[in-house]
Amino acid sequence: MKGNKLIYLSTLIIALFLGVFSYLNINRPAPDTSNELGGDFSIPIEKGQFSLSDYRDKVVLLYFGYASCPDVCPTALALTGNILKKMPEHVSAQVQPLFISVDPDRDDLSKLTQYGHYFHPSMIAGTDKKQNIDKLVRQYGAYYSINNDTNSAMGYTVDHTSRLYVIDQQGKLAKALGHSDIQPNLANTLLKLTGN
Amino acid sequence: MKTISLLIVGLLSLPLSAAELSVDGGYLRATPPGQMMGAAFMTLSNNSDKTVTLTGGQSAETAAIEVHNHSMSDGVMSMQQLEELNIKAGEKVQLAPGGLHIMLIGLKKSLLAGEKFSFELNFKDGSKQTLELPIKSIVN
Repeated sequence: MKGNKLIYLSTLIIALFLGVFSYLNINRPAPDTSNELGGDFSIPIEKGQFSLSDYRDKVVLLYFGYASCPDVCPTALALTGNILKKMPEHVSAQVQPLFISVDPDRDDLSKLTQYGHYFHPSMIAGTDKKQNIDKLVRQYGAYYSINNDTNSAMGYTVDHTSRLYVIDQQGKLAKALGHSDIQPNLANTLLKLTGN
Repeated sequence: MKTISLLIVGLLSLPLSAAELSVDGGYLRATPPGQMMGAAFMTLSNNSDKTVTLTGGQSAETAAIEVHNHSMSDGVMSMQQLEELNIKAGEKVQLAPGGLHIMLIGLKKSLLAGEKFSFELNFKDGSKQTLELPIKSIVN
């Protein structure tokens, strides 16, 4: 009798535990088991909206930065633009460079358009409200953070990852090139993706 | 006339602080339109027997000139102001892309490739050194 009670009690406890566990599981947002970064997005640009889904026939090169960045962003963007200018035209015609500013307070859309064109005539540039930028940055596994911890006359700087996201013609993230991988690897990556 | 202007150019290119600190390979990076931040790069050599401390600079064409450094941690680039950059006796310090640079904040106009830009470096001992550096573009 004592044994039965023990079995009964332990079954009850296990059942309760399982119940609570599955309840917690149901109420938790489904974990992203695909582990896939990237995907479609839409962002305001001077001429309206840039939607990745409109670029299915192109390789999109996406870079997150800020226009007041004096060194790292211009270096990455100039490298990208310079490499594109050296590619055969049938290849560069299939590539769309895109700069997204994570500093909407200082970068307006018309300034960003000029900023992008400076590095490559076809470079599009845009930004969005902080909330949407944060979501997009997470979606691509990038990172940025406003750094107020400075006496600098700049007011604040932006800590950020410097990566060039290569998105293929299916809208999938094909590669994330680190800052120092742009120069050695971008041309080959583009040639491969455009079937050359 | 030509001799006089050559003489003036010659005098201007002499560092004001008696060659204690020599500046080599200095240039500014051309800026995209609307970009009010600029960067200058150079190699500073301290030819004296004392530490020279660079604290920043000034120009009528900018709101502020500061020494900044970059650091990379876990793939995240961050930039900090250095209130003092020490260049020890006999040492060279390189200010180059991705690392130390002179940051020009609040430029009144874009830095155009092919033009020159002059500004002063300020040192902790109160001395100043005037530089006139070429502006170069990194965009082909």
